This record gives sequence, C-alpha cells and structure tokens, in this order.
Amino acid sequence: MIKRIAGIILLTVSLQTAFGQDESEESTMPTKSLVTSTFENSVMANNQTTMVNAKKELGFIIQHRFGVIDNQYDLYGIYAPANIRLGLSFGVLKNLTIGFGATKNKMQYDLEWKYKILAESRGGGSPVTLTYYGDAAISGSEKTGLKNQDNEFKKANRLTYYHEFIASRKFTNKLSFQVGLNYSHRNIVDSATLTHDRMGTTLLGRYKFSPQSSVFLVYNMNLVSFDDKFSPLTNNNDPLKNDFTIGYEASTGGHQFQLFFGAAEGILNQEVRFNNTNDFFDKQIIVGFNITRQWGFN
Amino acid sequence: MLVLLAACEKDYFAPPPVLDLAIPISFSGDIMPLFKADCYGSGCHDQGVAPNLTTGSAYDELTMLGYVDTSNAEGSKLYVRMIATVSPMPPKGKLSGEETNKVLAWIKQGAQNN
Repeated sequence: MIKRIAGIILLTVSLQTAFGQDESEESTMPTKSLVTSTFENSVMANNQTTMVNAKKELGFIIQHRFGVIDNQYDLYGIYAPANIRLGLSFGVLKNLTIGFGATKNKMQYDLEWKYKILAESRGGGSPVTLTYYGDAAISGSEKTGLKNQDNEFKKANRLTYYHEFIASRKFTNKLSFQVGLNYSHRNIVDSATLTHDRMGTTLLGRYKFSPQSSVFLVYNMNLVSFDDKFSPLTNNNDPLKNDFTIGYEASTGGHQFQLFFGAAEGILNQEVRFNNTNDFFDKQIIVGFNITRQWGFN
Repeated sequence: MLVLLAACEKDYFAPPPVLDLAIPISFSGDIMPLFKADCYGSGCHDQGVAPNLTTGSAYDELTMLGYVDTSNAEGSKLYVRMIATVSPMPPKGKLSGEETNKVLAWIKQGAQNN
C-alpha cells in the first residue's frame, strides 16, 4: 500500500517536472521580433536612411539650404541665395515607397523609389536592415545653358540618376549606424570633372540622447570616378569635394525637424556627390534644415 | 521606367563661343538688362544680397567690392560665378555662352560705367 502511494506520488511529481521542463524550454526559446525606429524618418540631412514609409503613409518634406558662411554682409549665409526642395512620398506597399519632389537649383524635378529588402530583427532573421534607393531627376533649365561640346541640345542631358544600397543596424535604443554604397550618373558635365559616373560610400551615425532628440554625423566619400570607357580615373585634380554633415534632430511622433551644418548646397543625392565644391574642413560650411511630417491613411 | 530608359549620355558642356572684343559692350545697354532678367527680384541680388545688381547700385557694388578685375577678366569673381556649371549662378541654370561672353567682354573692355 505504501509502495503504491509512493509510486503514485513519484509518477505525479515526474510528470509535473516533465511538463515544467517543456514550459521552461519554451520560455527560453528566443522570439523573433523586428527592430523598429532605427532612425526617425527616411531622410537625414542630404542622405537617405534605411527607413521606408509604412503602407499608405504619406510623407512630406521641406529641405532648405542657406548660403556659405563666409561673410557677415549676408548674415553668414542666411540672406544668400538659398536652395530648397519640396517632396512627397507614399508607401504604396509595405516595403515600397514612391516619391517625387521639386528643387530650386537647376529647377530639378525628381522621381524616387525605395524598397526595403531585409528588415533587422532580434532572435533570428537578418542582423541588418537592407534598403535600395533610386532617383532620377530632370532639369528645367534653359536649353541655351545645356548645349554640349557640339553646340547641340539633347533632351537627355537634362537627366541625372542615383542608386544606393544601404545597410543599417540599431545597436542600442540610442545608437544606430548605417553604411551605403552609391552610384551617380550625369549625362552632361563640366569638362574639368572628366567623369560622368561616380561611385561612393556614405557613413551615417545617430545617437539619441533623449526620447525626442538626437545628434548625427554623416560623411559622403567618393570611392572611384569612371572615365567614358568606365575605367577608373586616376586624375588627382578632381575639383569636387566630399560632403560632411553634423546635425541635430528633434522628433515628435509624426514630425521631425533637423538642423545641421554641412558643405553641399545641392539637395538631391546625385547633386551632393557630383556638384559639391565646398570643403567643410576648409570652413566652407552651410546651414541647412529639414522638416518632415507623416500622415497615416490606414 | 521610361525615365530610366530615356538615355545614357556622356556629353560635356559647350565651351563659350569665340569672344569678339571689337564689339563694344555697354553696361547700361547690354549688362543691366541681363541682370534685370536673371539676377534680381524674388529675393536674389537686390538689397541685402551681395552684390546688389539693381539699377543704381550694380556698377558700384561690382567694381568696389572686388567682383570684377580688369587685369584678370577671366578670373573676375562675377565671370567665374556665372560660368560655373557645378553650382550655377543664376541657380535656375547657367546662362548661354553668348550672355556670359558679354560680361567677359565688358570686363576686358575696362568695365566702364557706360
């Protein structure tokens, strides 16, 4: 009788222990979760981040660049001729955003597209977010200023193109970092630059020091320029400069404000990579700001 | 996609046409109309944005603030800025070679207030 009772007790305990082990094993299994808010929005100064609009989310951006800070007559660039871009973007699919914009300098109108290929996650999946971004812009400048070496005007010479693959990682809730590999093409260029194709990299880091504020650094560096036969150029007299930006961002829900010091007066990515002659480290600095706002229509 | 397939060109901006210094250039008759059409208005080169290119101020600001150099016309700040293709002036796009040549010829002819 006693043995029978002991056996029942042992069986009950062992069954409980077994189920308990299953439950504890289940509780230690990592749960895959997507990382969110690597950055607050899809643009940081003149650069794209890996963020895309949510599905049916409309984004509006104002990008403003003042003149070079070089004399007090124009209040250190504030009164100088400014460059501005207005843009709209829309999340047509979960990971696909389409946008268009208008830029003052050279009267450019651009079409952009952005697709998130991989999403960073914890507990399995991709360790980084990987996004592709493309842009094509057309200039509305007078034909007389766009004539080529044969003194003829081609409509195609109004066009410029940009492509970039960007990878980012949110290391902590405060620290995010991304690296991009980009390619720019211009159909018509100044003969001094000798190249229509440039490939470069972008390094971007953001540190969020409070729930609504962060600081960021961006460095755009040209890696290689190609000649007309797509061979790397060895010309060391490149008049173009890399762009460096340091800035501050304030974010409140669906609205972000960025204020920064950079070098490039152009706003479109292909303009920054191809038409910047200001050297940040030689005190050729401009002040710029971006204002973004998002509306959801789900 | 049409935009992507439109064209891939490898052209260069045309050099300015040959300059004919035998043709006299008038500041009031040739240069000021150019400034009026493309340079001031809309918050650009009028009061507050150097150089002020409005009538009555343009000549003094260009000559006294170092924007023209008759000893080095091609290196004059005014001309260099107007022929730049990287960041053109006016920002809407570089002017034609004929128009920038007028400015160069005016400087080479002594930058007179004529």
